[in-house]
Amino acid sequence: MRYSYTTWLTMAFTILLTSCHTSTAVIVKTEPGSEVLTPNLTPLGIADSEGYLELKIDDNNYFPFLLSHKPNESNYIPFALNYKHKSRKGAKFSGGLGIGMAGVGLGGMFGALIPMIVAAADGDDDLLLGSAFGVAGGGVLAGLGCAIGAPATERLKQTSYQYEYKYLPYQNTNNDLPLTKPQFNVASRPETSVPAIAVTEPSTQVSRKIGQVANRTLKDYGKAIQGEYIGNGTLTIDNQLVESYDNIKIVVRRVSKDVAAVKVVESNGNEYFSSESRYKIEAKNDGTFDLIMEDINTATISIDRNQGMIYLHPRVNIDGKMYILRIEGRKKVK
Amino acid sequence: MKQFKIFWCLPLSIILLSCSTVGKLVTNAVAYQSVRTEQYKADIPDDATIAVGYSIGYDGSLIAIVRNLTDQIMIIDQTKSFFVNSDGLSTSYYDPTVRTTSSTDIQSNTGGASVNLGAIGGALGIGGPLSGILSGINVGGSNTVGTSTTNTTYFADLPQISLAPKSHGAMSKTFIISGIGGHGMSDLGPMNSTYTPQSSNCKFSVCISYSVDGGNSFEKIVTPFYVNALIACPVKRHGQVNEALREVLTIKPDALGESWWTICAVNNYDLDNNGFSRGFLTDYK
Repeated sequence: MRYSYTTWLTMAFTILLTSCHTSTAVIVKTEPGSEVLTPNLTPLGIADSEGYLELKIDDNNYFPFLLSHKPNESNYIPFALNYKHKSRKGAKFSGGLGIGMAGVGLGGMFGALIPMIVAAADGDDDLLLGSAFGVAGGGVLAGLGCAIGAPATERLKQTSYQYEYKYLPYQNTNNDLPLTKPQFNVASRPETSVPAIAVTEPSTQVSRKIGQVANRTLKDYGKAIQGEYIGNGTLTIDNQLVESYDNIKIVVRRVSKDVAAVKVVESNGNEYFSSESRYKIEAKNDGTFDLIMEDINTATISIDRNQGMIYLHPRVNIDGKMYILRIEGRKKVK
Repeated sequence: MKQFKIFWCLPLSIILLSCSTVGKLVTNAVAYQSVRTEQYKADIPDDATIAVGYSIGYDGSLIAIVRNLTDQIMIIDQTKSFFVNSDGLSTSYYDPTVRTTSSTDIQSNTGGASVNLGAIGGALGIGGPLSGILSGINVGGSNTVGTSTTNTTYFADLPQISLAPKSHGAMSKTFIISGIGGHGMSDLGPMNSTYTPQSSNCKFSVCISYSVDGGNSFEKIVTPFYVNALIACPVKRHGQVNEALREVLTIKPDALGESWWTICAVNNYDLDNNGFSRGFLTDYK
């Protein structure tokens, strides 16, 4: 096969290029003065007055995301680095070619070495000269092969070569997206933060330290929700149904304005647990109630405005195993 | 001529095959997950007794940092302090028979974002030089092997430890939360789910028992957590990962304001640095 001079030059140039290049340049477009950082908050650079920042990303590092930080703002906004598939055939060819050349060169070198030793012993000058050229030629070929193959082989070990990707030259941040702040259900302050006043015995004499007495009392949530709720339930473990219950009753008894005692009673009259459980009552603005068990915070009861109830107890201990008891019911109307 | 071509094809094939790569990287989706405490508590009041900061790494590793807000010596009973994993399994902070990732032997190779404990220190009301000590420690996402911190920061692995007035320390063990972080999102398909504390599919909690009266009586602070959002948007065009991330941030514009969140590039290969996490959670009593 014959190749043109241009083809040989292109192949040699490709080999040289793939041997030396170890990072990928990307240009990030963002707001002027914005800083770009790694997810570990390592600064990579600051965008210029036109909003451009050139980065050199090591081919051994994989960054699916980077962070952009506008000046005078606290948010770090992630953006993903887009990439394309890059088969890396040049590096593969260079590596293989280098290995092949080195192998051929070494083989030729050692192959000419023995005749050279024999020729030297026999005093055969012609054979000696020819063998010497063979050894030298093999050595040159081996050296050239190493020079080409070793860098390419090392390049192929880098992450972007191993996984055949290349970052696109231009990237954009997500600073333009309209981001908001989440709404949290803020917990009420604990009672210890407010000087205690007896709730069952209203007093007309109030110290100035605890403020002014209002002409109202707090709503009695315990009274609002107390009663019997009847429904159906399931007992599961590892998403497997163990038992199901029809007409199982949940009896809610008021202890105080925001504490209730709850017991679960099966349709045959047997109590499910050995004792009542205490629940803290939380009222929502939409007229619903959340009850949270005092000792097991993941055991909850939700009561909606229509007096429907969802009872969830994820830690029912039966013979040492943990089961989940879930009951859906409705308040019994007297 | 044909034989000549075949003759050269054989060594050429061997040359090309001799230097192979792992394969073509394909990012299938961008996934997002956030965690909240069941009761969000904003600022720590002046009369609070104890404050706890929770750092969760991208690998789902949970570290609890306790701050004694009183003028008394606080005793932490690690035998009565627990981590309850999302599968319901409860593990004591002191149990010599339980193998966990302890603070003296952390091997973490997640490559995700490090959480600056100085930031947690600030949120727990810690200031001054102590926050400087904390800020030098990388947690949950750092590539640390072997001993990662000094004993002055982490509690010793003992049944009970004492915490000086107005001081802080990290509980002795690091626990891995099932279903949280990169390993909980590595094979997600397209989804967009938000959860309440009751409906969440991933809930876990920490209970810390403490005493401020010399060990005569112990109280507990129980912090339940839940995953409140899990979103995965597919990468529709090969390599256009930012499009999928933008879709996530459009579906949930408050995503970056959650107390703790993580994002992950769902790839066909498990590379280092597939994602990272940010934020921390706090509780007080």
